Amino acid sequence: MNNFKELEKMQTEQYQNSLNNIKNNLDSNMKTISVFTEIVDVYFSKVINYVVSLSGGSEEKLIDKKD
Amino acid sequence: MMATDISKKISDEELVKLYLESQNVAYFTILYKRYSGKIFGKSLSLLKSESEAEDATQDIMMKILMNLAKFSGKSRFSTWIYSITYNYCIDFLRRKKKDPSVYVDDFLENLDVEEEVEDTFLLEVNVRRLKKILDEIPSGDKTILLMKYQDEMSIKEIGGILDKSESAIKMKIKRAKQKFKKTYKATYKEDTI
Repeated sequence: MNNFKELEKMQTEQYQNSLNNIKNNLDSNMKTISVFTEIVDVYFSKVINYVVSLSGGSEEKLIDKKD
Repeated sequence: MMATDISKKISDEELVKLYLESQNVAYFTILYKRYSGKIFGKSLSLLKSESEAEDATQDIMMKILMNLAKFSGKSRFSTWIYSITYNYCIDFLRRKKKDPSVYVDDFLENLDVEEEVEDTFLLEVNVRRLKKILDEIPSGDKTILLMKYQDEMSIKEIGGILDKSESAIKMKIKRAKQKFKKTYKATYKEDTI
């Protein structure tokens, strides 16, 4: 018998509404992070290339230098 | 295999690995379902406010999500999650200075250190009374009792989270049990539990 565990179970059942609110907020945060990550993935490399070309360089030169 | 099919069969540690490999939110959702109630319950017990516990649970879940890659697997996943939860709540209380006993080490030095309280006394107290007594005793005592009896952490694990030696943790548990019993006896005069 362990009523500490029972207390934990009781609290989880009792505060289901709070847990649903938390889940909704968390889902929304995760969506925001996911969208932000996609934006970074898609556009960040293009921005870098643009900056490189503006400064007179090119992608090929960068690759050459790495080699 | 669909994440929902494996939700009951797969271990926490495997779910972490699958999430990190695939970034599939469904795996994290399973972990969320397993632990959000427990994290909320602990936050509510320590912060004593439903709205603060909601905010804390949300912050803790985000912290877990953002730090999953740092989970090394050296401890159980549940221990790792609870250590984040307890540390968050302790820091929160410290910042608010809501309960100074959280960071005062020898808050129970006046208790009789010889008296040993049986585990069964705490484990068999009825749930309603258990909740009331836990709400009455200082947060430092409550934290350590939840770690030991609700999360079933070892002395070593508790020591790791609170950054204390094993002997210090043993003494803290002993004193917290005494405090619990003393508060219980003062609240409920009769002997029945």
